[in-house]
Amino acid sequence: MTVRELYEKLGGDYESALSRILKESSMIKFLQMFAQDPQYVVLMEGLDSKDYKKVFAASHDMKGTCANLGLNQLSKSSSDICEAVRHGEPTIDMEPLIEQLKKDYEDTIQCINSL
Amino acid sequence: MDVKYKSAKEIAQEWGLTVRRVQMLCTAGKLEGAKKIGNIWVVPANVERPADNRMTSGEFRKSTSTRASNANVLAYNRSMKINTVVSHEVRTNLNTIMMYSDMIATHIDDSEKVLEYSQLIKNSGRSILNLVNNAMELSRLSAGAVEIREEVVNVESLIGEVLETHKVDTKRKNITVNVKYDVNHEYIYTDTDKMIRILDNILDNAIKYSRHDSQISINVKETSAAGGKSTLSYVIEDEGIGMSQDFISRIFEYFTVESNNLKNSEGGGLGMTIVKKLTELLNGSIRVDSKLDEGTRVEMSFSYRIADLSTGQHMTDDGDVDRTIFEGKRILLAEDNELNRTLLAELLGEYGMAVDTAEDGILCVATLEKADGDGYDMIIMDLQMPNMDGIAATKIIRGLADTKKAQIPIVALTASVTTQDREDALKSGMNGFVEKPLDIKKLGIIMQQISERGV
Repeated sequence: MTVRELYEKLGGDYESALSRILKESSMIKFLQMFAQDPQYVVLMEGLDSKDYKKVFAASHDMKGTCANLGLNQLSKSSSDICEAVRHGEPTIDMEPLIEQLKKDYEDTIQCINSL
Repeated sequence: MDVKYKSAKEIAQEWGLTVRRVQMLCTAGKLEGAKKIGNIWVVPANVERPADNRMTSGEFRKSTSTRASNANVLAYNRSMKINTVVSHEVRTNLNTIMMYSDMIATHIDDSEKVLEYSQLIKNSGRSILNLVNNAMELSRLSAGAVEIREEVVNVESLIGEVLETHKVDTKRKNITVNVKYDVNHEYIYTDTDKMIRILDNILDNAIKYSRHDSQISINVKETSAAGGKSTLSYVIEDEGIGMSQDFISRIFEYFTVESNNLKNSEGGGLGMTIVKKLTELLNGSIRVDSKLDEGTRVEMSFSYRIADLSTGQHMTDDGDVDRTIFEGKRILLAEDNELNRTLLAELLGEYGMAVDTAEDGILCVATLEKADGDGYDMIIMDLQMPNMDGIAATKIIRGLADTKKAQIPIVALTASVTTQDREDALKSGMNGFVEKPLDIKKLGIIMQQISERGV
């Protein structure tokens, strides 16, 4: 899979990511770093233990990282979680948001691994 | 006959003297009928104030005792005039308050009336408050004892605040207030209290001299922005009774109330004097145009330092960024997430910047403190970090003893900013924002503005 294909498949924005990161080789490096990054695990841990501060920090991080990398879909699903726990205990049903995040994350990792 | 007495303290407050001075007058036998009960002097309530030119406030006494120049005599006359007008206005409003308080007592079961009366009481209270504020402000201004305290403020919410305090009056006269706001730089530095007093007084006049069912327009426009400064023009227009040319020429003098307005007037005519003085103090300009029976137009212009240099959203996004602005710049990047940190450091490096990194606010402050010489050209700081967040770190940096380091431009790096976040960040002393994903052009615009301004 080429980098461009990865972005097309994940609903990301290849052009704008490239214009920011400047080099495709850097993009690959950062995508691979992202796949190793613990923030997703931390986010999930936080959700399990209902530690919403932790969830907020991790999802906030993830949203920013994904936005930097132009992974717009994953950035949106982590942003949805982030907003839901912005003021602590969520007042809405988190399940669909979590499902969406899991799906987007897994898709993303799969694509990165097949680069 | 029953004689009503007042304490020396009450008399002192009434006459604007120190209690000690009143006690001295009692001892000297200048206040007829004054007597001492225990340790306290009481004075008949209707006692006449002796004509003694030493009996003004302490501040004034100082100036007369040094030199009785013409200016001082003038100042004395003015201050007496202020006292007279102020006490007249206060009495009138207090009478209203007492009258309606009685009316409430007699109409206690008629909730509609009670509501109306309590509103009138509130209006009178507000008039007094306004008058006292104006008189105090004026005496401070005249004494030159006023300092400018700049802070970050959003002009739109400042106007909103002023309008809010006049809501009752506009509603009562059914006046429509149209606000047009066309400003690119929302956050600027100014002395909020003084700016509010200026706008408050002008709006107060506009409403006071407006007819029922008329309109007032407030038009705020950014007329220019360059070198980190933004110039705003404020135009406040009403369809009120207007003023004669002759009167406009004297409008900024003390206690000018045009005679044909007298029966409608309230507030003592201090407002425009204060507006003028405060406008000058803030290096602004003011111009008043008016036609009798047609209305009044007040135009002001102020130049402010821009607080938020990151106003890319209103700028047209064309052309490539000038790379030379980045070259050789020393950047300290504070970001807790390793991936983001590495990515950004690499990206900034691509543009020729020398980047050091810190993993949280504490390390950021420590790195800056340890830096040699001038340290860095700019800090790019994540807002959300463990141990110490960006806002707390900024506050510490702004308080560093090394003034060069304390004034370093700090740009917030953030994934999402609510208005509150934005305000908090600017108030902590940050100079602007870049959003994640970092748009190098926006960073370039900020750096350009900072170098023009010479922060």
